[in-house]
Amino acid sequence: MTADAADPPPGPAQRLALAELLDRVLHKGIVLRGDLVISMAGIDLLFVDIKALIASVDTAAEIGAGPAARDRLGLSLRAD
Amino acid sequence: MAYLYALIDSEGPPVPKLEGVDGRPVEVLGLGPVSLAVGALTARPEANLTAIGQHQAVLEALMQRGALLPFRFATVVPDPQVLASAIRSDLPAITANLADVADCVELGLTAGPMPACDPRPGPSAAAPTSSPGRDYLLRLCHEAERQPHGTPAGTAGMDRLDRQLRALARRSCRLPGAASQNLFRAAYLVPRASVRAFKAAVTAASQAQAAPPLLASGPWPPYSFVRAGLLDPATRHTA
Repeated sequence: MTADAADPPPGPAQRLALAELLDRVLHKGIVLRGDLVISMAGIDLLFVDIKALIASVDTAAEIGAGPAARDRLGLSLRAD
Repeated sequence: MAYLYALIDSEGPPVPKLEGVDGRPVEVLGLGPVSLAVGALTARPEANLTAIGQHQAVLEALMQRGALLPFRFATVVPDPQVLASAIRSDLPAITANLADVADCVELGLTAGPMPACDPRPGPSAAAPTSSPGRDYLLRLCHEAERQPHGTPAGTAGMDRLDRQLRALARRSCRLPGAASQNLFRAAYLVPRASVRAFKAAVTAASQAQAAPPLLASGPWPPYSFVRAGLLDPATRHTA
């Protein structure tokens, strides 16, 4: 599913679930010395893409790309 | 150049055929008791959701096979063999870390007021030296340096839930980013056998009167439980 201007904005839980993924993928894990600055340099493009893509729950659920992604993002227990 | 996905235990079932970043196959380089899951690339990958999804999909598949220590997204080296000596010299720490995360998954808990900010870029985002994404990650880095053990837990109910979840987990840690957003954020390294109990505990807590909004997430590869300074003993510090 491709997000466009007609898609409803993502809810708080979807934004948080995406943030949880990004915090881990971009901020955690094994970091090799000297890699930090180079990786950070790509963040502008990343966030531009995110703003374009997180406009629907379906799109957010596809981000993980694995079979567990929908379950993971569906773990929101109470969003508001 | 080689794109690094994870350090994995050399024992266990064979790694299945996987496609990773840029659609390139995932290869396994054996280095004794541990192996490197890598992919060949001609250029550093762009940081976009497609590449992040491909990276994450490889880790999810490897996670089904056994213990792994994930590399951060977009970690590349000119030649994976250059890592061999670093891996061999740090083998005790690597194998101990792999044993630590074996049979566990990472689960996250976020509690507190959900951010209501508009994710679309504002006029200030056009500044050439700043962006919401960079500012956000830099803020996380700075908060992690200032408050490596997180922020005060908040309500008594959250303290109780946190204790309950820590009892189910092998390890836990507070995550940065909580103070500025008034959120409680934590990661728990939970044995697979206890995942159901973890979810049940969060569900029960969310139904309590006056409970803050709760978001449980996972199962994740053990991103938050990689030992600081792994493969770089000079920067290692105890958590």
